Amino acid sequence: MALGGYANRVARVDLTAGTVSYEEINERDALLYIGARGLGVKYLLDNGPMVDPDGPDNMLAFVNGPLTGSEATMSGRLAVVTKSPLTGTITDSHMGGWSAARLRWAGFDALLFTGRSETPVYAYVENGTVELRPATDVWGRGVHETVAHFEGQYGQPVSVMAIGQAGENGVRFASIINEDDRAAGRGGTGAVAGSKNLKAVVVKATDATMPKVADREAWKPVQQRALKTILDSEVTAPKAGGLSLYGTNVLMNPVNALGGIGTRNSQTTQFEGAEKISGETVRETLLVGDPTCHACPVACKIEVEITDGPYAGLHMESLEYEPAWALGANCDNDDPRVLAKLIDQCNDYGMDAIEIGNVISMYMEATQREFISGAGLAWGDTEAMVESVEQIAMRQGLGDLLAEGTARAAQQIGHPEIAMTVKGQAVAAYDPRAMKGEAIGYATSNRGACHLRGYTPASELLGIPVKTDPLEWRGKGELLKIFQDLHSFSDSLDLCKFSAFAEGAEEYAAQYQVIVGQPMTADGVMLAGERIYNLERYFNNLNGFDGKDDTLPERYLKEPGSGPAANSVVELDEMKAEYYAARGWEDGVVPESKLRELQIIQ
Amino acid sequence: MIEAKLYATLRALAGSKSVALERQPETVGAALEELIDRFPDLRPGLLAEDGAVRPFVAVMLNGRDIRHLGGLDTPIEGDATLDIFPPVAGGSGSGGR
Repeated sequence: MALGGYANRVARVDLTAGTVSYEEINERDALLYIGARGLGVKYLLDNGPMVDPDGPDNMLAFVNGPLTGSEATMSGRLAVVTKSPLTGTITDSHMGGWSAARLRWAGFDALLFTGRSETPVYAYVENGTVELRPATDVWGRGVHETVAHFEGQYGQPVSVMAIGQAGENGVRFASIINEDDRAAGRGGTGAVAGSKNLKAVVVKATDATMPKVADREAWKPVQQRALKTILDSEVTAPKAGGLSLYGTNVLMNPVNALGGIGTRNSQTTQFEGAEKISGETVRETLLVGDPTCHACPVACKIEVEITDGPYAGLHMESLEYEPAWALGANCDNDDPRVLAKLIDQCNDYGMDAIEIGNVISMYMEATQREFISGAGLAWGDTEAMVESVEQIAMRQGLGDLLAEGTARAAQQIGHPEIAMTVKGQAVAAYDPRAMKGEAIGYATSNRGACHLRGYTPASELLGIPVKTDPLEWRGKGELLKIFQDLHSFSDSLDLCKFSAFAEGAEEYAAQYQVIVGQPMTADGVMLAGERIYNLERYFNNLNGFDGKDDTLPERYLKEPGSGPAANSVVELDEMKAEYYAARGWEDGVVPESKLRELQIIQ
Repeated sequence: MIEAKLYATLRALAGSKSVALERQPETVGAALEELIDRFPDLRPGLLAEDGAVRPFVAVMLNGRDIRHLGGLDTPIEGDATLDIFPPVAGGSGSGGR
């Protein structure tokens, strides 16, 4: 293959047969879908969109992009792509740290797992080969113990992408977590791994085998320009920008100020304890370090240590905004030390901290409204929360119900209206009544409610690329499409989403062009992103998803928020009409003409 | 009373999380003027050389960004809260998602 950047090697691992075969990257697919998220979705589509997510035919794809593991700033990422057991849609979930880079350095663009092993195994990856090895020694153990086991066996540095007990037990929102507690967090990737008896992917490699750059001479100035945008940005500047100093949780206070912090299962939208769990408070009281990922000067991770109270001695990375909201404000918990404990539990058991915060808060509201018999869970009962997290991971007692995810559990309780979910996946830390871009973003996300498909808070809160009024719905459908398409491309390179706080389509195009050696423009970036987003939608359409699924919980449509959002509900129908017009979709379905125009079908 | 709440890096510059303004300013601009008079170190982080609020700095009057109101000319009536943020952003979960 003539393309630079790619290792041009993909491993197909049949877990049923216990065999591994190797192939090259399909060049046409690489040109159309770039890598990571885009190429991963194409592999899933070719594998068959109608597979049972829990069954052996489902594919679990670990896919790098052409920039992964290179010298490109923020290029330490890969996508885990699969059909979600939580939503039944396509899903992709990205992890940082060093695992992605090491997978590239070990010689791979992608590992594609299908089938189901009879006994627990892990995949050992080194020097262009993949071997399946018995995982009976670590089955039943948490992620942290599993990582320590393999670090002891293979020596550091080694990357371990593992599931904990939650994945083994089929918790529908189980995650895959690596040695730096970086997560392919959303959508149940860990449950798919568990269903296949795949405990971990262990990668041994060093940067001595960093990917080749197609145009070495042109690379340095392009890389330096992209790096400079990161270093100069007031948001991302190392040791100076808000993201670098306070981590993602720097958002807790501003989002609360504008009335966007869903509180007590989104019954209100301002949390009186926001300051106590904010990035500022965590930095002042708990911070002990700020580790980083491959090729990233920003270092947004917030490593904390607890020195007093019942969780004294806990040292964890990282206390982030989304879990701080989900397990904090949404559950009426204003203790950052408990948050650290809960997030650390989620990382060790291997679970999505956003979904688990929502399912617990849903059950707390069910308790408040006496929808359930028995003691239930009281708002802010942090001891019970810690117990619940363990029960969910182990599917014990109440945990067995909550392990089904927020939507299914609320349905079983008989009150689906208290599930703050879209397509079966729970919402994130921006209440859609206060931030209308996220309203249409949650509703139309191809993987269920998600703030990252199109990160419109960049515009509504910060003013990137332009400042828009968070309470105004007009124009947000069109704005969302731009963000979705841009992120589809960067997720396929695969660069960290935070690069978009400083870089744009031009920087992405320049880096792609020099590394891959193919012409690329800013318009080409947006077109490729649009193609990838439509490919995902096509996958979902084939599974029966259409406009009826692009919706929001009724609470957001009928019950106003708080503070600045006190008179605001979501104008969903108007926003969907604008968004579909921008997309050229018919009631949430990609028409055949659009599929042809984008070269998705021929 | 007008309460100015400061966040992130602004807190160290003012040595405080929250400041009760002593005057009763008629506009947001006048409120910022008093704040900067009392804490001059805040000026470079908040205002550009031409006196405009710097790009990406969010000044919220009762939770509404003044960029969607009347800017620095936005009138203040009665008790109010000003939330003032330096450039901040984030948004991911546990390292990606």
